[in-house]
Amino acid sequence: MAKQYDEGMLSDMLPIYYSRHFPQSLFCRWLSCGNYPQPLANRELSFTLADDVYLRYLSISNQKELQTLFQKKCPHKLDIGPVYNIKPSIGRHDAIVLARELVFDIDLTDYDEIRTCCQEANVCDKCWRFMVIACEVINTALKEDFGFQNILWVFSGRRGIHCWVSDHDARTLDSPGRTAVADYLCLITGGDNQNKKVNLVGDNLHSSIRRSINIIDKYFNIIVQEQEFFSTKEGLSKLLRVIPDETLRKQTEETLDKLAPSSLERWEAFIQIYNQFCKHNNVRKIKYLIEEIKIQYCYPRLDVHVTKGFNHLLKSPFSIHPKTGKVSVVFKPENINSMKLDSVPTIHTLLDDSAKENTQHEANMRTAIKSFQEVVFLLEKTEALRRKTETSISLDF
Amino acid sequence: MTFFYLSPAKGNLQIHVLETIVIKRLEHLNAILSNNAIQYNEYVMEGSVYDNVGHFMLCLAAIIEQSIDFYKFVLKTEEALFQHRLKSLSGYDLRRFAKKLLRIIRKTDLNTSISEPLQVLCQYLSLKNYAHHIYSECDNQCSSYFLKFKFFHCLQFLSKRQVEVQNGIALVPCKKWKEYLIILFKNNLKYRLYNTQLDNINSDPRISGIIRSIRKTLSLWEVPVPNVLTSQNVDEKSKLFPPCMVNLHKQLRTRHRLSHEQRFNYSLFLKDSGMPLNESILFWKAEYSSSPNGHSCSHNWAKDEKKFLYGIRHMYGLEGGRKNYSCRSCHQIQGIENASSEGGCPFKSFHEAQLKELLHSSQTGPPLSEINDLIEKKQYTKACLTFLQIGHKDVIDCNKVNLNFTPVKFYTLKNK
Repeated sequence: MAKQYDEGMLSDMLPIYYSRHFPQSLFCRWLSCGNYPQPLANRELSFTLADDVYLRYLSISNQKELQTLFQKKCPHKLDIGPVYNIKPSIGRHDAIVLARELVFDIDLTDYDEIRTCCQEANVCDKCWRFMVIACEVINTALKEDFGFQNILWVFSGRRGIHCWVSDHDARTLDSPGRTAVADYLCLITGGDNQNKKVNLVGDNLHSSIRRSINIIDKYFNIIVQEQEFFSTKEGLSKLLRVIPDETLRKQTEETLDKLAPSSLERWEAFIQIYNQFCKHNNVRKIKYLIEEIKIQYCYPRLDVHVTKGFNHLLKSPFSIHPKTGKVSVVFKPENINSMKLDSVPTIHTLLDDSAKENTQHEANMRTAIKSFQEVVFLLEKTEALRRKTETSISLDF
Repeated sequence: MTFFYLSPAKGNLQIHVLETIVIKRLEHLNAILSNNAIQYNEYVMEGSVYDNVGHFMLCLAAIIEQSIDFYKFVLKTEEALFQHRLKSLSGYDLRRFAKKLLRIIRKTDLNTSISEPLQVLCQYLSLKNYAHHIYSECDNQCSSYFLKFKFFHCLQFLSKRQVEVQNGIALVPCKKWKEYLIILFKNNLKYRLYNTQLDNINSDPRISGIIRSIRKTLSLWEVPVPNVLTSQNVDEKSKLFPPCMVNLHKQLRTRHRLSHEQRFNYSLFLKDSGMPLNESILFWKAEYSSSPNGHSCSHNWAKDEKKFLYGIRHMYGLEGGRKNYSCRSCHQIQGIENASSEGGCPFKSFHEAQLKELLHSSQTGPPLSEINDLIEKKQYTKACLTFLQIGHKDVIDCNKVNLNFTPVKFYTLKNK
């Protein structure tokens, strides 16, 4: 009989999880690389214990200390902070932040105004598709535009994904730098009162925007069908609110309203109306309207505050989400499309041999750890190479 | 020396000449700001010693004043001046400018985020065909040439997606090179204004004399000087005061008197926070004309007006030694051990209940645990800084501010 996940049992299950399943060695290696040249002990960790007791300025010097700390404190939540110039427990408020991975946080609640299948804490495989697009867009931008190679993608445990960039230039990027990167990647602006949140100006689209549209196009039709964006009266009026030209808006409303409530049909009809309209009218203001709509509906919605700050504490990979029991698994960006939320290992299914999903989840856990391993290996390799070139440069007279 | 102002000139000048240089420079900058016709000004000739000295003197004044508005004024006008000069350069002049910059960069210790890209840019601009192209053919649409810079050296272009980025390298087209030069100038100036540590130079009376002239000149044009505090708006503004001053303000409002030392401290704070002389007189007159409420002070305005006026004017540097008194720093206030004093640093001298009440009066429920932590460790200034940052999304760089924190700095930051 499969047991339901019970948050109350966490305190009993976590010590076993931390000893047997949490990849302690890889975790320490990953953080150490990100810390260089500072020792691992200068990295801040924070624990949230049962009863919401919050411990900050923790750190470890090696894996043994990590295991001891896990067993002693049994954290329900595990967060990772920045690298300081001194051990955080000594420096505390006076310590200076030297480095921290460049991080991104994408959460499905930011898509609540767009997704029709779920709201708030709920998530399903349909709206997960937004995460698939987000991951591909961001990952490609980080690699191709910024040249980053050491990128770690992590499932947040409930309804989002996190990204950690450990490249040297990313770790040492200051706050204005992180802000600029966030602004570069951010195309959707405006709050609840803004109807049209994307404005593409200029004679040509920036190549990163063009590339993002191409990625969105791979999934657009599917997502239009799954989400049925334009099928309801509400959905249709949302679309109409994004059209800045009054004539075009009226035409669209009149035509689409009469059509069957198939979003894909309505969308294709809209494209026709738009193309016709552009032939006979001044196009300037609506030159990129189709692209703007696609971006507003599908482009990644980042929490820019997480990216801009460098002393934020962010949830650690392979920690357990207290509300869902799921493991924040590492995944490879190329596999996110085939990722099913139900197949994510949970603390319960991992610890209970009799659980139905036990075999499958254990296998998936092994895959996740292997993906983590690959990222860590690559990071160590890149770092070693970088240090070698650095020392050889400094020896040149 | 160039009008990029990479490093200050060295030498000796008579003080009145220095003052004239800086005032004339201010006039020139103000003319640019007001879009008046740029007239010939012998004190602001590009590449001259006076030009260089005037610029650095102005930077010095801005750093001493610590006024956000004055920083903004200097940044805006100096950038406008730079832009104007750059536009007027011929191809040949541009080459010479770039070559000179290259020589100076090699000798000067600069922030690498500025020296690296500046060096690359100047290496190209010092070449005949590029300089000539920029001067003559290049326009807003031109993309004949591209220069490569690391993406983190072009943040302004990056955040607005104005340049293509590949593999961490930004490709800056020639149509943006002049703009880039201006950005580098501005970044360098910003860095200088916000990161230079001046060791007590403002206690030099010659310097403070010049600063006074600058303030006077600025106020004539109604250029924003530190935010004006008036006897009318001080109650409202006091919500933004640091706890030590909120305390004094409340005491004064309740009892209509303060002890000599505290009255001195509070008056100085108000002055440095932008209360002009006439408002200060009105403020203190109102309080000291009312009868004391539970205070042992025997003075009142009617009887001692002359003394009060003299005292206030003295504080503003208009009587006697004409010294420029500044508000006490946190360190100094914490040094006051006087048991019966109404003042002092609340984080140090108040007991917990008193402190809690004082902090609650200007905020809603601060996380006292962190503050209490710091108090236990005797880090009173840090405690105050923590209090300041509550509810502020923008991170105030504590490392910059912690050295020589003063109540005025608290108010300036809060008032932003």
